[in-house]
Amino acid sequence: MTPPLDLTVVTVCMNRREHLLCTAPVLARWAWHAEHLVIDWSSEQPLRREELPADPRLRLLRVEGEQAWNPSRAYNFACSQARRAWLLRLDADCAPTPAFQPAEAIATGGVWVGSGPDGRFGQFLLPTARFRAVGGFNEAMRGWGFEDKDLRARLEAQGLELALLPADWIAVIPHSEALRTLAVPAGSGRLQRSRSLALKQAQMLANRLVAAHRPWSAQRPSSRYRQEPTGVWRAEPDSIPKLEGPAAVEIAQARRLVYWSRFLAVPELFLELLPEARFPAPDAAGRELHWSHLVYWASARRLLKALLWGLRLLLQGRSAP
Amino acid sequence: MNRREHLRITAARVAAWPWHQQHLILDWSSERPLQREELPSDPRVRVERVEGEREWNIARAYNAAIGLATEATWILKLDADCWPNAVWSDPLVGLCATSLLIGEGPEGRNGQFLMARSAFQGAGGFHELMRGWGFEDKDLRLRLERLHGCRLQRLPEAAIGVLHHDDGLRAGVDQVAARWPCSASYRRSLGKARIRASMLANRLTAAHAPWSQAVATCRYDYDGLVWRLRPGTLPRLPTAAAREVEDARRIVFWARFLAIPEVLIEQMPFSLFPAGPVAPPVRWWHRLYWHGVRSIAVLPATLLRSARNLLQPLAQRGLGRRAGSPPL
Repeated sequence: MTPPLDLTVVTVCMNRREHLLCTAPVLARWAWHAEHLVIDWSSEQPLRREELPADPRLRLLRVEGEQAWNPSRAYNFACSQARRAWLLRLDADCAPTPAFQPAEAIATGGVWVGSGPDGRFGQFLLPTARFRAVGGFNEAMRGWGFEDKDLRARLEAQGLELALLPADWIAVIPHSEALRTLAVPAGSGRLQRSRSLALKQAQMLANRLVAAHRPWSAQRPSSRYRQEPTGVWRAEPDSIPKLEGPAAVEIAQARRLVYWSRFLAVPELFLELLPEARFPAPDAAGRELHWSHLVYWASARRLLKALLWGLRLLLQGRSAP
Repeated sequence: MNRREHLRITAARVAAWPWHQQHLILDWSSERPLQREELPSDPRVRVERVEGEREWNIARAYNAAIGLATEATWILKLDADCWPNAVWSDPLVGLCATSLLIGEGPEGRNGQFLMARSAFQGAGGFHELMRGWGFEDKDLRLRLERLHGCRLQRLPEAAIGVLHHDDGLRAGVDQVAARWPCSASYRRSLGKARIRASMLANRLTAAHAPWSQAVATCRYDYDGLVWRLRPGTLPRLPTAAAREVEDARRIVFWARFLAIPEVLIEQMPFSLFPAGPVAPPVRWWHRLYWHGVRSIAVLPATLLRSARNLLQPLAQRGLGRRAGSPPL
C-alpha cells in the first residue's frame, strides 16, 4: 500500500452530479492523496455526502447563493480550504488514470500543468503556497475560458518553468461544449449549439480583455466567504471583485458584439451602428432573444453560410490540380 | 517614424520651452533619415537613429529612447505631434521622486507622461511584445498603478498641445495612399480597421504575456552612426499565443475593413484574407469589394443610425414640451 502524499485533490462541481458520481469512486480508489475536497458550487440540487464514496479523505463543502458558474472564484475558494501542502485540480469530469503516479512529480517541487484535449489543459499539480503566492485565479473573470491560461502566464512571469502532466495521466468523460461552459442548458438543437458557441467565444474574448485590463496578483483582494450555521458557505456580496469604469464598458461591449456577430453572422461594424436595445447583452437564460433574431438565424444566416460554402467549394475546385 | 512634417513644427515649440535639459529625438528607421540640420539649432536637441526597423513599434521605440537618456532623472514623453504648452511652467514644482503624471485629454494626450526614469524602468517600460499602436500606454499605467498604488496624477489637458491629424496617419495609411490614389473615406476605413486590429492584438498580447521588469527587453548596438537591434534580443510570444494574436489581428482587420462577419472570414481560405508582416496586404479585389459590396451593405445601417440621431433630439424635445404643458 502506497502511503498518501501531502496532497489535496480539489474538485468543484456545479450541476455535474452525473460526472462526479463516476469520477469520485475512481479517486476513492486512488492511493496518493490525503484529502479530496469537493466543492458544490450552488448546484440546483445540492450534492449529498451519502451519494459520494464513503472514503474518509473526501470532504464536501457547499457554497450557496451563486447564480452562475465561475471557475476562477470556485477554485480559489476550494484551494483556500485545502489543508495539504500540494494541490491537484481535477474537474468533476476528470479522474487520474493508473499511469498517474504523482510522487515523482511532487518530488521535483515544480509546477505541473495539464496537457492534451478535452479540458485536460486546465488541470494542475502545484504547491499550495505557490498557488496562493500568485493570487490564484483572476476573480474579475466571468464564466469559463482563459482563467487557466492566465494563471499559467502569471506563474511563468514569476520565472517558473511549467512541466506538463502527460495527457494519459488524466481521463476525461466526453461531453459537449455547452455543458462545459454551462452557458446554456445542454441540448442537441442547432440553435442551442450555435448560441452556446457564440456565448463561449464572447466569454473567451471578454476574459482575455479582463486579463489585459485587470492583471491579477496576490495583492488583489479576492472574494470573502462566511460559513452559515447550517454549514454552507456564502460569498460576502461586496467582496466579489467587479470591473468598473471604462474597462468594464469596453469588455461588456466586446462581449455583446462578439456574441451577436457570431450567433447571427452579422459584421460587428453593423452591430455598432444598430440600436443596442435590438441586440442586448446575452444572459444564461437567453432572454436577449427576440423572434426576429430567430427568423434571421434560420433564414439570412443560413443563406449566407450556404453562399460561403459554395464560394469555398468553388475556390477549392479552382486550386485543385 | 516618417513624421518629419510634425516634428519640424513641434521641435521648434519644444525648443521654445525653457524647462528641459535635453530633447532626445529617436528616428525609428524613417524611410528618409532625419537630418540634424532640419531641426532647431537648440543645443539641447540630440538626434539618434535606429536602423533596420520595418514597422512602427511605439513600445520598443520609446523603451530604446528612454534607455538612451542615461543622464536624465525625469522623462517627459512627447510624441512627434505633441509639445509642452507655454502655460506649463516649471513642471517639477510640487513633485517628489515617486510622482507619476499621465496625460489627459483627446488626440493622443493620454499617451504622454512625466515621470522619473527610474519609475519607468522599474515597471519594465513599455510592453515590447506589442506591435503597432494601441493599449501600450494603458498597459504601462496598469503596471505603474500596481507598483505605486494610487500615485498616478493627471497632467492638465492644457499642458500639452497636439497637432490635429486623423487616425489614418497613426496607422500608417499615408504610405498606402502614396502608392495609389484613394478617397478620404477609404483611407479612414483602412486606418480604423488597422487600429482596431492592432488594439485588440495588443490587448491579447498583454493577456497572454504579462510584462514586467523581469522580462528581458531588446538590446541595440551602436556602429558609430546608428543603432541596430542586437540579433537574438527581440522578445517573442509563445508559439500558440503568437498564432492566436496574429490570427485575431488578421481577422479583425478584414472584418472591419470589408464589413464581413468574423465567423465567415475564419472559414475562408487564408490566401483570400491574408496576414502581412506589417499590415494585411490589400489587393485589387479587396478594393473592388470595398467600393462595391461594402459601401452598399453599410448604407442601410448608416442611414438608420443617421435617422435615429436626427429623430432622437426631436422626440426628446416633444416629450419635454408635453411634460412642460399645463394640465388640462
